[in-house]
Amino acid sequence: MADASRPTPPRTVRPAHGPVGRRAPGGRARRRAVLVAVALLALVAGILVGRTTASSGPDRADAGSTLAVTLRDPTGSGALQPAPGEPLRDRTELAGTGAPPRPGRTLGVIAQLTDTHVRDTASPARIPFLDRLGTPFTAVFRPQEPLTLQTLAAATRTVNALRPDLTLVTGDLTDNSQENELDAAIGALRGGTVRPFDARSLQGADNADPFFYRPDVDPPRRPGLLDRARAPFRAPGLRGPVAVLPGNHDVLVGGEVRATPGLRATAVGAERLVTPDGSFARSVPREQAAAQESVNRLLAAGDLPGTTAPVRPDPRRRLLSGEQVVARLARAGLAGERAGRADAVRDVGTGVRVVLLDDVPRGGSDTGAVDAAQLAFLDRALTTGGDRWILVAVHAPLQRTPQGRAIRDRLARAPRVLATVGGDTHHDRVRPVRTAAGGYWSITTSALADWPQQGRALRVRATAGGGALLETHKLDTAPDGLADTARELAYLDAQGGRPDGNAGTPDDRNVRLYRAPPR
Amino acid sequence: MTGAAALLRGALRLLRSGRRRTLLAAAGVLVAGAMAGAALTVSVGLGSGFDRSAERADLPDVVARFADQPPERIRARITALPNVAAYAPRTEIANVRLRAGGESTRRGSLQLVDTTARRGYAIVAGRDLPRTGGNTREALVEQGLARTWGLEVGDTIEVGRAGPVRIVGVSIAPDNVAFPLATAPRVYLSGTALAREFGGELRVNQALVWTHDRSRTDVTLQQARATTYGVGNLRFVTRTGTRLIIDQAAGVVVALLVAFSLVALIAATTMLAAQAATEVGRRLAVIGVQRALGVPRGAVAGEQALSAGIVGLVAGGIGVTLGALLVRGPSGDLLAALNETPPGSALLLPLAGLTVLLGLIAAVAAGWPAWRAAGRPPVALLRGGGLAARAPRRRAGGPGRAGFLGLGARLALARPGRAGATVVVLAASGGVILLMLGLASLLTALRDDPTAVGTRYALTVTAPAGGAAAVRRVPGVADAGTRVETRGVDSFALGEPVKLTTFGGDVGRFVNPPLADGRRVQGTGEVEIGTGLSTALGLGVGGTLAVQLQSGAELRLRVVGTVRALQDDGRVAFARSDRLLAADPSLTPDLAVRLERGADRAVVAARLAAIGATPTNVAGATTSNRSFLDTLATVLRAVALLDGLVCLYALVQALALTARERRPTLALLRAQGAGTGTVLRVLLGAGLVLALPGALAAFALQRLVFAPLVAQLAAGYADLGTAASPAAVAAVTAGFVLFAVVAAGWVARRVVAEPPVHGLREG
Repeated sequence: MADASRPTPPRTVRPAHGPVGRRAPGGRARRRAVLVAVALLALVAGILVGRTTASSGPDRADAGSTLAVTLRDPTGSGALQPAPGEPLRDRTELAGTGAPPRPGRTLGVIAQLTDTHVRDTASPARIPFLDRLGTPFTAVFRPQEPLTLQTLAAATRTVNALRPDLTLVTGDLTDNSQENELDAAIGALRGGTVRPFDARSLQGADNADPFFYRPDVDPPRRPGLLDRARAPFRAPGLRGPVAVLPGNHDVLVGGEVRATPGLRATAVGAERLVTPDGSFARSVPREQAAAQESVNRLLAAGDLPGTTAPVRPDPRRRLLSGEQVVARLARAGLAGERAGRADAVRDVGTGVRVVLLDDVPRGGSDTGAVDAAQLAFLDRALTTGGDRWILVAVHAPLQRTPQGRAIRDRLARAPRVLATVGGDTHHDRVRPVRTAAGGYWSITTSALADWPQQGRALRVRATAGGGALLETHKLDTAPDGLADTARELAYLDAQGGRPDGNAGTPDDRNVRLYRAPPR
Repeated sequence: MTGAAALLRGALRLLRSGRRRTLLAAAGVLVAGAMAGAALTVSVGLGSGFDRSAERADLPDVVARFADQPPERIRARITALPNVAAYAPRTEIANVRLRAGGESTRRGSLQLVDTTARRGYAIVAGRDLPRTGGNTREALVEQGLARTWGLEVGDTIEVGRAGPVRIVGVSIAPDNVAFPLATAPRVYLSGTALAREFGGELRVNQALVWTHDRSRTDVTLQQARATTYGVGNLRFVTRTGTRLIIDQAAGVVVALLVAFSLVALIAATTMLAAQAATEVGRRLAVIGVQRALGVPRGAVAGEQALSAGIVGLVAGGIGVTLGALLVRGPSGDLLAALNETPPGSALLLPLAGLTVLLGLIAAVAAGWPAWRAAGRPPVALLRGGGLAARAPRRRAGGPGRAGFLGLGARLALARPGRAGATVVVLAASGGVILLMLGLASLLTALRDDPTAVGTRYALTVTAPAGGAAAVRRVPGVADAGTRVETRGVDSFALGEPVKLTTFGGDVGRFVNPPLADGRRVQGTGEVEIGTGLSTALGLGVGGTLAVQLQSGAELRLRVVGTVRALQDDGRVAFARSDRLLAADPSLTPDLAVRLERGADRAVVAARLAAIGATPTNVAGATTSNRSFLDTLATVLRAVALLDGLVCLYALVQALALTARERRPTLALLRAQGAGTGTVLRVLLGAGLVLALPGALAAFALQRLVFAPLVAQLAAGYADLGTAASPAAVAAVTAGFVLFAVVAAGWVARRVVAEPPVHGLREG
């Protein structure tokens, strides 16, 4: 069932060879003609080079790479400025003894985007009103949430500049498992005209609730931002092969709750809960799991206890099941489909295999986890790759996945597993997992929805002696007015990625991850 | 060098040659310098007082106050905010009994300080609480308390249940006015030591926040508002807001004193220039001799300039120093009342610069006319010619049709430049006097009169039989209409209290606080909110105010304007009643009663009571400001009086110069038999022709320039109607006339004391 991608031709530059220094026979006229021709050629070449430079910046390969330049807040004032990039740091925990081996040829280049959370902010099925209850709830609202599609489109531009052999989208493409969110996200990934959502009901100046950022009246003031955010735009789409895994937010309401008839009706209804009743707030248990369960029950019942606001009913807010989501992604050519799951194997060239494991429970909470058939699929994928190094893509890190232990046991036995690549946590983290077979790297990547709004580049290289090296660095979104604003707001968000340390440490971002030869 | 030395020798010779005149001129310069020095001291001290003191005290950019919270919760919230450079938790316990040195209060504010964090105050005596926490037996007291109760470092103060503690330091923080202007004196104890002693963790109710970039504090606050869930009774005060609060209390006076200082500086400069030019006028004969002997024109002018410059520099320097010393005490007291620190050595450079400036002004003022005079034929100068060529003189020997007053007027106007300068000085000083009197009245009004704070109704009444129509018929009532006033909180658990005042129909009939932004309420569903509420909720024009009423109902109104309202810290809202009554029908309207101009509130209240309406007075400013407002009004009136003395001096100076120049004319009059009364009338005419236009210009200047400027500079919380009353204008005009009489009498005495023959010799 391997769905091998077409190998990308090598991007080597052949040096020009030819006769030089010998004067051509003929008179002055011929010489003049040659000179004129050379001048014209130089002119045309200059124009072409100039155009290329103008359209793609100083260096196409480096566009968005945080190796060259990134954004920082040098004064701590909350204002981001371009700053020197972060060089790659060596991590040799799995390299065995001795000095790191010399890097060899590139086996494959992969890009990763994750947790884009494309969001219909005005949806009645969303629960931002719980933010005000504080602990035990974590914040749902993000000031930059009207701009999720623009951020995704800007990220695809960076990825296109990288020209990867495969782009992974590791889940939570959408926020609330709604049909309109998925359609818009697919549009941004495939390219074409994208129609963003209207955020004015939540973030318009006429919302009296100071808990929500209202760009027309709240600092940093961005008058007209909501109108600009809503304007249709043309997304470039990802140019190479793409593989999308669903995340819990793609298949469950709010990432937690299975759609019930009550909730389905609420989603397409004409009312949105603005302020929950005081009695509800008081009845919420302080313990996190119990509190979540209480909210799940509330949402599942489709009951809205408290002050409501009217919204325009929209049938495209239909809540999708996990099977429907995978089917739509497959129809768009963005995912494999295997028994309602997006499990797939993608071979990149002759040296790398990417195993996509759809590890999201479909039943909400801990129910409906990875099943026996999926484990069998994983066994096959891990054992049929030959000499390929294997990357296992998941949404949630395996230590958080129900039955993750069973998966980890299998990976521990597989000698050529180089890394697991996931999202879900919204944090950058790279840690070694030591196993009897030589170990692998566990990589989670921060969300496009939160600061630092970056993707990740992964370059697999062979090393001397039969080992492997995974060079990875973060990718900033390409320059874009609205995406840049989204990043600014994401950085300021006091409940977002900056205070939570989502960007991790330098050891979690731009690193060379060495792996000893298989034992 | 030889030329310069010769010039200096010549200048010194000039000064020595007329020692008495030199001393007189120096006295004039000294007075001008003293005025300018005092003006500069006040300007620098008060003008930059808040910023200077805030920097010294390391005043936080934001202070958040809230109901008691675990410190970790607050720390987590604040450190998550963008642009936060540092944070200090604090616990404030209000209404603590303080007792020391025979004084006591039950309104003390005990501040428990986290000694490991930044403090937000400066130590002006003794030492700070140690960073390690120290012990619970040591305290800091605020400077206002120390000064008022006569406390010093080492004294003991009894602090509530903490008992007697030793004062180890005196602190100052310009986040409020000082005790006793502020009713709650502050005492600081080590919260760190207290927590250690009792083995627990103090709950905190204040957070002091310092930002990396002060200009982006609004962004920090926006994020703070979005993360305040679970934190009750939250209020933010920013450093800018603190300045506004201080300005609210004292900004009018500070702005006024600074304005006065500038005017005094202009007046001093004008007087100095006139003085120097007069000196040249006196020395015309000497200049004529020098020119006749072949002294170059430049040398003549240089000697004059240098001699005047030396006088300006020396006497000016002494005057500037005296002026600075004179106002240092009162200025320091005022700064202390505002919890601000004096400028100290930072004042030296401006004072030195001012001294040099005075010397330069004197040199130029003397050098320029001397240069012009030296260009004239020596014979004309020796004959007693003026500084400039003139049209053929009209006969001034007789009084003419306008009598002796008219003659005096003609004599004064014969020197249009000097007359103009005197009128300018009188106008500027008079304008300031009018402004100060207007401001003093306004401050008194702020204390008692609600109309000064944007409330146009002075009474509220329960509706009598016949309703508003019956009330409107009562003599002295200009208008009456229904009013509903209630209190609520914002609907989103930020805990901001809101006082909502609504009216049936047009809101502007009854309230008109100055607009800060947007427009007035014009329809149902619209609201004007106070700037205090706007700041607290981050709510501006175009936003929606949602108020949770006491009944539990919610009222939503669209903000169309923000207004500068003094009441309730600006946490007020004005709208039409319809929506409020629909949201809570149990609310009972009363009637707002606007009085006719000049109507006596007590009389009208009695008439209303007689028809069955129970009247209630509408209050003015908050009671805590009352005594301060009284003090400020007194200070303003005293300054106005002092400024009046400047006018008198200017008139005396102008008349003395006129008398000096017209010595032959006055001598001729006296030779023809004129007595003291005639001379007095001539000089009075000269004085009046300066004083009356001066009064008129003063009125125009105050009305058109000063009043709008001060209204802009000052707190901006009230509709500063600083235009002087007709009575004040009449008083100032009468004062100017009186000054003219006094000045004329003073100069006439000196003129009559001189034998007429001396004057006739000059003719």
